[in-house]
Amino acid sequence: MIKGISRSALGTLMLLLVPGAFLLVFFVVPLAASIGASVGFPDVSFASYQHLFNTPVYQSVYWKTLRIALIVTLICVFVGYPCAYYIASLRPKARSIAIILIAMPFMLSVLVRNYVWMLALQNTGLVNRLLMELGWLDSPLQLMYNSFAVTIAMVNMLLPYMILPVLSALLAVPGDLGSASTSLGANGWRTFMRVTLPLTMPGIAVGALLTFIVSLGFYITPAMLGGTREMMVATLIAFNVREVLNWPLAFSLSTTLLASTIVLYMMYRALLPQSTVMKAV
Amino acid sequence: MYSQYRPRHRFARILLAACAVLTIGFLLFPVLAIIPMSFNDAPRFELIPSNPSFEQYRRLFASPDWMEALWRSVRIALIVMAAATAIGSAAALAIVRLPSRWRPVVEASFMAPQIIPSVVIAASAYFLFIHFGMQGTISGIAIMHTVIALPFVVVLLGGRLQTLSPDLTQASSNLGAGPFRTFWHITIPQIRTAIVGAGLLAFHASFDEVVLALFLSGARNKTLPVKLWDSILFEVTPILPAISVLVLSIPMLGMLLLLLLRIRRM
Repeated sequence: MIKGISRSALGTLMLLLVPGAFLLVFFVVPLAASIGASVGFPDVSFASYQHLFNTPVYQSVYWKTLRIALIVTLICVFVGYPCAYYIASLRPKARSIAIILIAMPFMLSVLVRNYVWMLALQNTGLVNRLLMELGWLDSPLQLMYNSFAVTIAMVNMLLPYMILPVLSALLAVPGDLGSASTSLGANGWRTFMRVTLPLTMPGIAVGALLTFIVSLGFYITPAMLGGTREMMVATLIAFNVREVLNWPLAFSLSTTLLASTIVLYMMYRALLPQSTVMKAV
Repeated sequence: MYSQYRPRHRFARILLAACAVLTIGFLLFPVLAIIPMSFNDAPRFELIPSNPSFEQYRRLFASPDWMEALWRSVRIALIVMAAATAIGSAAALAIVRLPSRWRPVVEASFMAPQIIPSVVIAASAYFLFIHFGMQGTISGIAIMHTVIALPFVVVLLGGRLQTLSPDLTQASSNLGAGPFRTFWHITIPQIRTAIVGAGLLAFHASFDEVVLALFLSGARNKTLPVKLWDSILFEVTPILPAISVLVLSIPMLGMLLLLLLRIRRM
């Protein structure tokens, strides 16, 4: 037996050997290689990054991505919180049904969810047809291939990431705090602003950060509903890899996306309450 | 006894309920729209199909192209299910035994494939796979799908393993069972449902995956989602809703299986 390492520690290391090697070879190594390729390894140069940061087209893609991710996150906070609040007020049975309903769209293919939005937002789609039949519109509105379509579909896909953490934060607030606040003379609104909202702030932060991280890397929705004008960083990476084979540019783009994701992910892990680390992502 | 979150004013209650119902309706819209659409002769938004027919399903099952893609996806997902469950279980078992100093780091590493954008992972895998001749192969797709399915297995099994009492394993080893015997006879029976659930999640993670498959499948080995993608963007296929419902029903069956397992245990 090896000195200094107990038998159980050795067992743990052996358990970790295969998964660790797998993750290293097929996840860490490719990512490291892509970072290497972005600086033209072995002849290191930052030319592709300079090109990236000095070209207005690429700058505008970054701004667009940030703007859409921020707007989507804000909408998710303001739409998701009341929904989570209502679900928290339900009796346990109704609450679990509501949770199942919220998780249900995850079972539908991501592609199909976007496809339904395509059909709904087309010029001859559901929304335009409804508005025209109601007489509010004479000619169809252009709802597709713009940031509006991308935002709607992204909110549709990301809302559960907001609702579920907020819901678990709301349910963790001890029930007697609300009654304590009320018995001390606070009305419902005041109780919400002074007790519930501050106590659920960590849940909002976790949900918002998760929504923001996931929306930064969104590919399918902007590719399907955004058209060529609404490029996001992910669509630009795919374009450079699959269409024009510009590796240095593709990988400097993906390295910036990777770096920002990792930083935000570390913030997210730090925000997670210790007890729920295993439960959430 | 009402919840502390129940507003006292009737108006506030109604407003809140309306917000929640609208939000959940908005969330469910794609699911609710696609099912009736698949039983119509053409994709149209109708609550009740105006020209009900199984035409889409007939054409789907009669098309060798779609069937080939479907079986390819099922094959890949089965490989991923086996590989991710095995590798992920080992990882979860190790993570719950790690000292608290190392645990967050290792845990975060195994969760990373879910957080890092698929496009970033796909582009880097594409780059390496071209060098090693794995581009466009089924094994290449299966390997990368296993990477992104791992987090699901680790979360589910890790969560379950944490709730187990250490007394039973202790008793087993006190009675002279080795670690493998203890694992097989004591730990496995307790986490059986979680293992099945993790396997199903891994299957679904692969079966529904688009981005990695799009980069790695090449022209010959298109999976079902890649073929869906092509037909949505480049052709008009009136059988898309049928395919979607078919794809939707697979995780539904999985859920049913889990439910049955749970009922049998009770």
